Amino acid sequence: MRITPPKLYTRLFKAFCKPALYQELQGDLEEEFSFNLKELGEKKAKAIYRNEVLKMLRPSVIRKPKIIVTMFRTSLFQIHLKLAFRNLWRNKVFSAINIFGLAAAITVSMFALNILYTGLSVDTQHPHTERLYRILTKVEKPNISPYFLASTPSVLGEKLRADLPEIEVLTQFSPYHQFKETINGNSVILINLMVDDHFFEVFQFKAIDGDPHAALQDKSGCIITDDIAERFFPDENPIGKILGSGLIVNAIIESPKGLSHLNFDIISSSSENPYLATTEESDYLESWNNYYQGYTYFRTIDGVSQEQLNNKLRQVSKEVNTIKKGAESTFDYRSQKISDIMFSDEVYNAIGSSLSKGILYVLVTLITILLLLASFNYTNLSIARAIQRTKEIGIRKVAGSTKSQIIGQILVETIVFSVAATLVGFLLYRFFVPEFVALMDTGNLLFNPNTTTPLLLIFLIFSVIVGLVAGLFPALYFARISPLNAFRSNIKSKTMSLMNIRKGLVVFQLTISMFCIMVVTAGSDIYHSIVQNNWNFSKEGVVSVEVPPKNRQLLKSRFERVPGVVGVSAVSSLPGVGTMGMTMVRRFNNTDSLMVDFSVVDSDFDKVFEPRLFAGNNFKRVSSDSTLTEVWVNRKLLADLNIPLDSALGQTLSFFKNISRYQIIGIMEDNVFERLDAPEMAAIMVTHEKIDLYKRSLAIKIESQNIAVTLSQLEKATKEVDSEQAFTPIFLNDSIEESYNNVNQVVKAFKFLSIIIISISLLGQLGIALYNAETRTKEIGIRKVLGARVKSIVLLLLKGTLTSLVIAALIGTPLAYLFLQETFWLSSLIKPQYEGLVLAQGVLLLGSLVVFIVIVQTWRVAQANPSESLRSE
Amino acid sequence: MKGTNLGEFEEIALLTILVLKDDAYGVSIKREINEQGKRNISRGALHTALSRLEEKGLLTSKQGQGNEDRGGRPKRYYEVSNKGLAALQEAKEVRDQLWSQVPAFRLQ
Repeated sequence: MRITPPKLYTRLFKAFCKPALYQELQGDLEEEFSFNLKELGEKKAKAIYRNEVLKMLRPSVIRKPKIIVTMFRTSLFQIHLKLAFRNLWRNKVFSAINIFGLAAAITVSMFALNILYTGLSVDTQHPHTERLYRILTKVEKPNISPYFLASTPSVLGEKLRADLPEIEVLTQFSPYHQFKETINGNSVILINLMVDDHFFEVFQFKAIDGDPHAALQDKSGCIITDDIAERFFPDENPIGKILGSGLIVNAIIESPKGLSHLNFDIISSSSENPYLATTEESDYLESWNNYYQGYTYFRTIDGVSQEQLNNKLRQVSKEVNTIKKGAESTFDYRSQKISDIMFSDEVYNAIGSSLSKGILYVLVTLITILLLLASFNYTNLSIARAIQRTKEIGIRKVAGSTKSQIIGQILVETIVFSVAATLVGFLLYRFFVPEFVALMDTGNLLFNPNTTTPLLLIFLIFSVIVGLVAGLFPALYFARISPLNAFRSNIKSKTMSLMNIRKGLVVFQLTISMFCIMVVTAGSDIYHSIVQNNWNFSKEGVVSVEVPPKNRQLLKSRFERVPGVVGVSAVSSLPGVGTMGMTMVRRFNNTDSLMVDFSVVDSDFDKVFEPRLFAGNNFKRVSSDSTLTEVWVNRKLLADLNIPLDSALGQTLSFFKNISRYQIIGIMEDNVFERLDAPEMAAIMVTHEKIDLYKRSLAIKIESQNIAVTLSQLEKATKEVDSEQAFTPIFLNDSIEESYNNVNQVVKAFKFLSIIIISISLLGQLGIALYNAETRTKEIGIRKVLGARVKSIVLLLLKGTLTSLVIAALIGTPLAYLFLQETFWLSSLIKPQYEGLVLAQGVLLLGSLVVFIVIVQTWRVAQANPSESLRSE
Repeated sequence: MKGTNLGEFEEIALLTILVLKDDAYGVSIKREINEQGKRNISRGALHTALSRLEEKGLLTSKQGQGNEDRGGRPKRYYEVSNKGLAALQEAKEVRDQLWSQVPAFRLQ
């Protein structure tokens, strides 16, 4: 048998070689091959041949890629465009389904793209951004894996200024979240950034009014953002206005939202801030452990690489670790480029808004899945119409169209579709932007509500890409149609495999929809079961009001005298909402310490909330021993401190440094102060203190009759005590719901997404059902003539849909179950008791929707009079 | 200037074609260059050089017969054009002139 050159390489060569050169060059290659075969043997000859083919990859031999050339030949392009519009017009239903499906996906993707783009474009307006860094603190503790913090100790700034000549300018600041301020008579909670004198040398924000550089020289000066200025001084000039805390507005700058990862409403000088104030010598060594409140950013001089910087920082860390005193943790300071802050690995205690890598992945996956789903609709419907179009393509091929022209035509068609969808999607996007901003906490999310030119450009490019992706498969399929086959009546074999692909895509769509619907049902279940949880205290008729400390005792005794009031208790935080803060606690005469959540209440707590105790007593009305404070604890705290349940009552605890002692007089049932959206139970302590320092609000229990009357009397009582004091009661139920708002937000967002995903799938189902019914009109007519009834015909058409539904359920259910088990239900203390039911709900809901759509579509055809449907043609 | 200046490899290719007389086609040119010049060039590289020479007008080519070794595919025979001969002549003159000016002791 004759030995031939390696076939694969010959084919490869034929594929890339210019057709005019192929004959002669291939001839030369073959001649040489047969020569080598005789001289050197088969193995060597083949190796040389392969090598020669690869060396043919050079500009003089390779043919030019054709598709691009023909796509942009304008006359042809115009024809393609015309054809695309004709096609779009001819099949209006098909076009509408495609465009709306794509539009839904594109709308969501636009939000995601906006977040991604905004994230990537922040912090570019500062001078020399490429030389801007922030310092990260890597904390290593024995027995704990090391972690990164975005914050640094304040003393680091001074040391770096002294030790690193590479630093041109360095700034430190510390944010004050929950900064309470009264602006123009409105009391609001703001984010106050307390900065040192160098802040505006490092960062740049456009000044709207006043000079930000000079604004903070006066220590009581402050700068507000244009957002705040517009919100509270709509018609007047805010410059020179004095705010409730005594700060004077000296300048207005643009809001950092969408511009920087920093987030603030107001900037004030840090001289009043204990964190950044210079420390005394004795404290200096310990202050290295104070790395939670402040942040350090700097700009290097020209020509310093990050590596050099990190070497220097390593040196600094080493020195710090040898001199510092106090905790046993060691520190490692690292630099992070300001452009790397977005989409970096997660760091703790991050300032402002940053998107972690995880969010990046989530967004990208989201875009991909949505677009795949929407593109599948296109692919599916194109395949469904393949037979009809086969003739059209056949005629075009007979008339002389090349493969690449056909591909071009189909791609132009899909791009027309996707651009149309983008237009619709963009309208929807504009419509939903205000909702989105209202729904999501935009303080933590990078999102630019204005449509800028680069953003529009991104959307447009994106829509073209979507068109290419959606059209690729149909285009390749149609390009391969041979004109001979196109006119043959029997084209079964090829269409059969196509139909299988189509079914696969449908199943994929349904599986994802099912998954979504199950996760959403489970998610809203969790939210509802948290809010309507069977709390172990009474929340009926309880309202809370925030009152300043000076009036608290007075108001409390005044409220108690109002008829209809059962009890009044001053508390630091409300049960059900959560605890006030954290503290270190240890057993008396023991070194083991533990972080616990704690809250402070007064002796009337049980009167208002009637908490259920597992063991022990209520707080005493009058505390007998002033050094011994009464506390309640939960069972988790006892377990963590190794105190047995039965001997716990009467044990004493103490704070980390404090001398005062705490005696356990009660053990709480679960679900009193716990946060239910935490992955696990926290150790909780409720102390009964007479000191008023921590208490913030008064909780009032009102008898259930005449609540409105009592409330108005309470308001009157407030005015009697202090006419300035506002009375804004909030029902405990509302407070609890409000505090779980973040869970609700996630659920809501997911719900919205699922609705989109499911509607895309349903649109696809609708298209297929429509098409099926239409193409089978004749078949149905014959069946009816032979005696089939409407019911059996509908069943016949439903059969395919039902099988794909069953397959989707079989794949989707275990996936959803695993997902819920692994991520969703692990992150919350409460889980719905009826997991199986939730899943079944999802299957049934989606199934009935799909079946309903299919039946509605087929009903019409099944009803048609066979004499009508069989008559034509 | 472009079109008259010959590269080193181009010069060798032209000379080889002249040496091969009527039998100058892809495989034979390549074999001759590889044997005489003790180097190993690929057919692809040769194609690039030949097509460039043809573009410059230094070569002409015509299609010939195929044979069984080539799977019946036609050969392409190359011939040096008058312009090509002139270019070769010029290249030789430049070299000769330079050689004659090099002092003898420098070459020892």
